[in-house]
Formats: sequence, structure tokens, C-alpha cells
Amino acid sequence: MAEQFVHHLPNKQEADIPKGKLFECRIIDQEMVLPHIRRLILDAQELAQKCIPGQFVHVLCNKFRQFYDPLLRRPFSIHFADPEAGHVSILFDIRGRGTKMLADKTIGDMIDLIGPLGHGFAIPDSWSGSFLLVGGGMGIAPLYFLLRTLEKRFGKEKIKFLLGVKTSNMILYRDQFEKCCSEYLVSTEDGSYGYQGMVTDLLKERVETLDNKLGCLVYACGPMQMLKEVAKICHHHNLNCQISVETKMACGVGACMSCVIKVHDTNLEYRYARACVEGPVFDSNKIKWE
Amino acid sequence: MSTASSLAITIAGIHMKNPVIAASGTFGFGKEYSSLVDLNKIGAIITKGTSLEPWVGNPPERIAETAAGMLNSIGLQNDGIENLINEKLPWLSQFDVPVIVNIVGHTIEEYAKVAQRLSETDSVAGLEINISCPNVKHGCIAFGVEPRMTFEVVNAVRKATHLPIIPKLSPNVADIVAIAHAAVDAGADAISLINTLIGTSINAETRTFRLANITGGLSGPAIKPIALRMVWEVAKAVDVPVIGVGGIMTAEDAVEFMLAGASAIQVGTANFVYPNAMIEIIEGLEAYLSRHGFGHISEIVGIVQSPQC
Repeated sequence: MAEQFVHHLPNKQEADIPKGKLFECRIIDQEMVLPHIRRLILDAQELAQKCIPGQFVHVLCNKFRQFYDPLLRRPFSIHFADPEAGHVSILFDIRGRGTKMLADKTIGDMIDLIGPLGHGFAIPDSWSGSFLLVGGGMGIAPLYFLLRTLEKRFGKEKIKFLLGVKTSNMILYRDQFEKCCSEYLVSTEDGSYGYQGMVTDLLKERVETLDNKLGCLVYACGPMQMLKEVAKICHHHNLNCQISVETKMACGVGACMSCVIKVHDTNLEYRYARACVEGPVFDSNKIKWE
Repeated sequence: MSTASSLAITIAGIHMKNPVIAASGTFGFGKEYSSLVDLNKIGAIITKGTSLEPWVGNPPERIAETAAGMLNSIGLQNDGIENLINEKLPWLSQFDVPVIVNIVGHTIEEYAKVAQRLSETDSVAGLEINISCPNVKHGCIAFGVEPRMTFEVVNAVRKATHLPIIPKLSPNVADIVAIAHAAVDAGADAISLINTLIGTSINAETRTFRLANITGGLSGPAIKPIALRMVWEVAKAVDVPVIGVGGIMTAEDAVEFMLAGASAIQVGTANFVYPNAMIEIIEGLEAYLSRHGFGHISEIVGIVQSPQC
């Protein structure tokens, strides 16, 4: 029987808040991954040394500081960090005015960001079991950094990656993901590639075939409905599962309490936990799913 | 050349290095921003609204961005007065900055109990009475929209504490001056205004309201003209200091509020966007005084003049 991994995601509101710093970072590369998806690579020496997979940066998207529309910063999970090169990248979908403005920035432009913020994925120091990563759509953004970190520490043989997308042209960076794991499976909702259906159905099938369920750590990121289903499957099989949630955020540092999700509480029926400081990565069993 | 002391003020008996205050609900309990902002440099911190017992708050979605502003329906989520006293205030006391606690309650008795409990501590410089949060269905708002209720809650707090009290007024009223008079008559040492304006936001694509609570409080640059007008109206009508708040993003915004009659200003939503906003405003105020030949910040309070016709 494999060792149990009891990770130490915070359970109290006053858990140590990750201390982000304000940075001005230069864009050193900008890639149009798809017409509506961009990847920015930033020169961010200090940030690259500090951040861990699952943490995020809070970015000022406006072109000029004096512009107030859109007003608020936008949170982006760290897609990859290379401490040796001093680079950090973010991958994002152009959804509204903020992301459109960010997408319009070009190489050489400066970006004002706060980071690294939030509690990232808990990764064991040693682990004899396996890792199963489940990504839905843009949920791959933080999972790539996690995948590379796990591969470096434990080797690709222990890692499986399940990706769920609507259609085949949404499969991003397939080669990069594939070479970091022993098994890379894709589900498409329209059946245009790989398994036809939802990634959670694929997960159910894969979990059934696991030799050592207790020795498998599951990490997931994607739409809330997908995460809820992943949590349900993992709970059913007693799998340790960490999920990264995406919520609307104003401050990003725990002050405004806008980004909350409902979690179980020892004293109350539930409480609202701030995703920015108590998450964005949560133990799936701690969330009160509705 | 202006010096740091040119910004030092005393409001309601609370001495501040400068008139730039972190607004309640936008700065947590200071700790959240302590790696980004030097807390020793700001005039005062007004903590997040605190109630007698912990409040769970409203369900998400709790915020929606609007044109040059944001709507929030947090619902005053907080861990209660004992948690504030036992965990938050001791941590804050290491800094050289006055701490003003924003207090909330469902009933007048709750306000009074919170005020009385805080009077027993030695780390609180004053109380801001939130009679105006638009996000709680049962509590707060009822007190701030009517002069008689304003008087009653402020009076009850006055009787419960020796600490300076600063009611924070709601802009969601027909006659802000009448509310201000009621607060002063009840014993207010100063007045903060304005709190957020009630608004809503609809997603046309999904045909749903964006906030779970449907309505929320509008803050940010979008509300500045309204706040500025109300500060001007109240400052010339009452004989206690007015603390202006509402959409202040820059030093120029802060100067406008002070010219309108504010003796100090609070920075709220700007903290979310530019954590250094308060520091930049402090520096900008010093530069303004120097540029215009004023010796002290108090010299610009209320000196706005009507345009020449």
C-alpha cells in the first residue's frame, strides 16, 4: 500500500497569506496560440524564482494607468516559470475588454503585476505512487507548470494527463504535454479527436484501471462543473484530489472577500473561503459542492 | 519646500501623519497588504466592518465590474469582534498607524455592544459606524437612510464608548445634509461620506443578473462626482470634520475632495488596482502644497470657489 499524502493546504482564514510583490515585467515573447488564445512570456527574474505551480499573478491589463475602464486587475495562473532563464509565462483566453487589452500588448511592452499570489498545488517531496492530471479547456494553463515540475522531480513514467476540450482544434501544446507524461489522453465533446465525451467520463474509466488507487494523486483545473464531477469521482474512489478554481477577483490578496467559494467548516455548516489566499488550489473534499 | 509635517492632522482627536486613510472593506485588516504597502506611511487604517458575532456574508458572485467602477455584494463577511481583538488588532499594533474599526450590527444594541467591547481595548483610535452598507438585507442600511434612525444608532454608540465615533453615511438618500445633522446631533465626532451607491448589473448574453444578491454597492471612479458633491454639501452644513471617500484614485482626486471641504480622505477601490495608490497620493499632496505655496494641508480644506460668470 502506498503512503498517504496529507498535504497542507490551509484550512483557516488566517493561514499564512502568500506575500506577493508588485513587479513591472517586460514582455519578451507573445504568441497567438489560437485566434482567441495568447501566451505571453515575461522577463520576471524574481517571480520565476519564487513561484510554484498553481499560484497566480494579478495583472493590470489597461494600456495606461489613468484609464479606468476596465478598472480591476485580472488574475492569471502561472502557465510556466523557468527560474534559470528568469521567465514566467501566462496563457489566456480573450474573453472581455481586459484580456483584449492584454492581448494587444506586444514584445517590449511592460506589464504591471502582483505575484506570486495564492496557495499553489501541494506536491509531495517523495512519492512512490502515480500522478493523474485532469485539465478542462483553459484549465491546462496551470497544469503545464505542475506537469513540468512533477516530471522533473519524479520522472514522466509516474504521470498521466487527461485533457478535455470541446473540439480537436482546442488541443493546445500537445507535443509539449505529451513528452512530459507516460500517458496523454484527450477527450473531445464533439468526438473530433480521441475519446468522445467529457473528460470526467474518461477519468472514470482510467480510475477503474488504476492498480493502486490510494497511491494516485489527482490534480485538476477546468470549469467548475467539471471540477465538481472530478471531485465526486475522486471522493468515490477515496483518491486524494486537489483542484484549482477560477473565481471573480478584485484585490487578489485577501482583503475584499469577493472571490469566495463555499467550504466545509468545523464549527459552521459552511463558510466562504477566499480563493485568492486560501486557494486557488483546494483539497476537493474541503469544498462544499452544490 | 513642503515637509512631512505639512500633512499631519488631527481629526476627532485622532492624530494622523497625513490625511490619507485606507477605507473599510478595501484594505482587509492591513495584513493582507503589508507586503505591498508600508503601513507606517499612511494616515490611518479603517478595518473591514466588524460585527458582534461572525457574519458569513452573501453568496457569490459577489462582484461585477462596471464602467470605471465595481459593484460588490460581499455582505460584510467577518469573523466577529473577538477575533478582531484577539488576532487582528495585536498584529496591527506593531505599526505606527492609528486603527479605526468600522463597526456593523443587525440592531442598535449590537452596534452598542461592539463599541463597548472595543472601548475595553487600548489599540483602537476610533470607531467608524457603518450605517450605510447596501449589501445586508437585515441590518445596516435601515439606519442610514432616515435621520431618526441615524440619530438613534449613533446616540447608542455614543453612550457605549469614549472612543471618537465617525458615522459613515449612505449616499442612497434624498437629503444627505439632514442625515449628517442627525449624526452630529447624536454625538458624532466626524463624518465619513460616502459609502457605495446601490446598483446592479445584467449579463445580456445569459439574461441574468451578475450578482447573486442582484444589487450591490457601486464604488470606484464612477461615483466620484456624487461623493464630491455630497462632501461639499455636508462640509458646509456641519461643524465636525468630514472625511471624503468615493472614487479617489489620485492625489488630484484627493485635493478636489479637500477643496470641497474634506479634512481627510479615504482610498478604497483604488487599493485593489494600485496597491501603492495611498503612498502616491500622500506624495502628490505634498507636491501640490509645495507647488501652490500652501504651508499646511488644512489650508486647502473647503476653499473651492464658484467659477466666475
